[in-house]
Amino acid sequence: VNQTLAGIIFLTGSLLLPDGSVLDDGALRIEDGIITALGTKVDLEAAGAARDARAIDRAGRWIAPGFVSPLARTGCEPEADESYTSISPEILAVEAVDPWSEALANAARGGLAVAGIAPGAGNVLGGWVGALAIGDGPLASEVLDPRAALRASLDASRFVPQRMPASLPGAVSILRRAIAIAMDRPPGADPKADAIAPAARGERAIFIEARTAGEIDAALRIRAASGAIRLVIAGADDAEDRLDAIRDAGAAVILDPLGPASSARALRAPAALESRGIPFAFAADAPEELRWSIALARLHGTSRRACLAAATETPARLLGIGDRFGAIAAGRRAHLIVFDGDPLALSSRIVEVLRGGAPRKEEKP
Amino acid sequence: VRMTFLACAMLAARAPASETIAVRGGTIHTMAGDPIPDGMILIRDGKIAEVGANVAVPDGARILDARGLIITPGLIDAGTWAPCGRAAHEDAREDTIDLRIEEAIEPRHPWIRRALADGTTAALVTPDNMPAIGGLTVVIGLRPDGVEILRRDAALKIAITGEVAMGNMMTRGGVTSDYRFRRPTTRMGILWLLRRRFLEAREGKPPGEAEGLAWVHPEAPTDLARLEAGEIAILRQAMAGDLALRAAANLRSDIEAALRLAREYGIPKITIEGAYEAAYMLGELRADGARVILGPHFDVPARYVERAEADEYLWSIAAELAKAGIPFAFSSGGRAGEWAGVRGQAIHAVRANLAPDAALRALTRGAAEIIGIAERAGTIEPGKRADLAAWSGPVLEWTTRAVWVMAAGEVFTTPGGSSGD
Repeated sequence: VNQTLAGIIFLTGSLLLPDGSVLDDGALRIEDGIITALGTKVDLEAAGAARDARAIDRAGRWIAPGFVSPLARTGCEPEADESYTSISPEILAVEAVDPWSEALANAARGGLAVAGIAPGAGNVLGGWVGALAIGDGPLASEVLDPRAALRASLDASRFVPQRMPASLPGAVSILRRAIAIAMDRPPGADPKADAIAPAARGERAIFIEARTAGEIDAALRIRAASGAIRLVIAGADDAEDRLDAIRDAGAAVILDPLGPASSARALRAPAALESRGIPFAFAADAPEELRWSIALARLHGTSRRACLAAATETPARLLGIGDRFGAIAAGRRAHLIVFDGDPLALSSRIVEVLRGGAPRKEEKP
Repeated sequence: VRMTFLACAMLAARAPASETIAVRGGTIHTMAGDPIPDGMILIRDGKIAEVGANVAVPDGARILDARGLIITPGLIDAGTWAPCGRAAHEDAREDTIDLRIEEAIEPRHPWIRRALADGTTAALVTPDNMPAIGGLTVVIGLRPDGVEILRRDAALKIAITGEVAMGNMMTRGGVTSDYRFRRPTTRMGILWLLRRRFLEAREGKPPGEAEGLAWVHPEAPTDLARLEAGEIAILRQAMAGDLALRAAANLRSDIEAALRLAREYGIPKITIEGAYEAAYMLGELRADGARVILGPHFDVPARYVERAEADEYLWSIAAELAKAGIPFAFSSGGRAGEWAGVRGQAIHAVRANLAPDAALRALTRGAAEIIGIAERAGTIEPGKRADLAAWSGPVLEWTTRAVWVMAAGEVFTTPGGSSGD
């Protein structure tokens, strides 16, 4: 069941707060899809927050923020890497999305609020990750930001073959030059430089695929050489060998989703990153992957707070939409998932998804 | 002294840097004078503090009993690309002048622990021999849990061997996006390319300008793929001798071409890598002040050398170079498996008439001088890094093994070794 929250709503239930704790008998006032007040039901009613509002009572249910995945190919054409050139910062990955795709509809039902639709890791500069708010229906998805983060890759094993570059040092050399040139050229002089500039100047994050310790080191050196960039390391299989260096660089990490086949190293990674205070998120195409990741990270010693943040607040921040998504908090969009139990437990079922913001545009003919 | 086993090296915690270690007993080959029987080495802050026959052990020093062992400086590999991850060169171009091979090093590569276990504590990492101009080398210190950068941009690597043209193909009409369709396709072409690049740098022109788009795929983003000023500066430094130039050159004709190139462009000193036929070129190498990095000479196909008794010939090159007074060192190249280090090669060279003292010098001080870290490593002298190896017997014998290895004051027991703690 999906509902669009139009008008003024007074929603009651158990609220999952950003620190992972639960506010029983909580309530939200939602105006035109934006959370304007939250607290206990008693307090909010006393403060008059229920006035003029349509009441939606979900007492006994758990209300969680919609999930966010920072790196996804949800509903995209199968080819993730354009083979034309390895330096294509002009590419916008949101343009690969098929609005009619079933994957997109399934993701909406599973509570995915925002996906960072991304190019693959086959190109050094594959293009821009777009922040896509997953809508309720084929044409209701909304591009929040077509240039939310720049996608880069140092994973030579994934590069499109028989083309420049074919090695890690070759990729490093291109990436370093690209950032240097983007900082150097005046606006309008070079379309490629213009396309890279927001990430080179740190206005947007750069998601660099770096899996081995050597690749992570290379990403950190690029960060050190160009002080302005906001580095996010994607993949990071060897993160546990580089925890201090990642923390000292102020970098965040995007991990592969965890599943039953994950390596011991991958299962240890969330708790290890949390121990150093390194923000991390899980990449996922489908919300179920996020729920598996949360459950397995919990099983391997990660706190409730860090697990929740990894699927909501942190990815929203990495995509530059942290002011609108990623938490049940005043001022955020009311994209909410109603569960019949603890949202961080794999056994809890989704009862409904409540969605504020853009109303449904039109139905499939 | 807290010992760390290589086998579980990932769990190693570093010894406090302020710890003073006394290596007591053993025969010390300092490589800066005669061997000291039953000597003592004091190590403080990861560096050699004192060495000699009559050194007093300060209070609180941790004693490492080395009686019965032979102590040498850690061995130095003068040229390897074994610890590089997926590729030790950028395959898409023949000239990657400002490529730093440091970026390709995989800190968890098993070669690092394998070489360390055989007494190697430092190595120059170089691009392999596939590109004509491979890029900049780096000198690293070896640790069980990774590497330490000792000298960045240590040299510029070029290659004159046939490997450069290998796999390159001529286009037969039409446009292809495959980068293997490119020049050079011959040995002559390799030299044409190298000369062209040096000439362009001398004249301050962007590299490759004349070849235009045909050089790589027409759609290659040439503006972003080149930062010309940096590349020109690197080639000019190499021509001025401010940056060492290392040329992979195996056959006599390769070595002749390398020396010719150096003379033409006024390059004061050139280092020859590989050098299968260096013994035919002794006079020229000496006259030009060239240095030679031998190896790896395991598995060299017989067709690469002119004599029928190829193997014995190859191992005798070191003795010939020593006799001629040409500085040389050993390297492991891309060899990453059994006998991956440099000691096995030196043992072969000793069997082929190289004096053991000369072999040990080439493995330590000689290599340090050639790769430019002599002020920090290569001998056991006060102020140098505490890079040591303790051996069960004479270093240049097959049956001898490293018992423990010290890298910058940190001690690692090798598999099968035991500490004197």
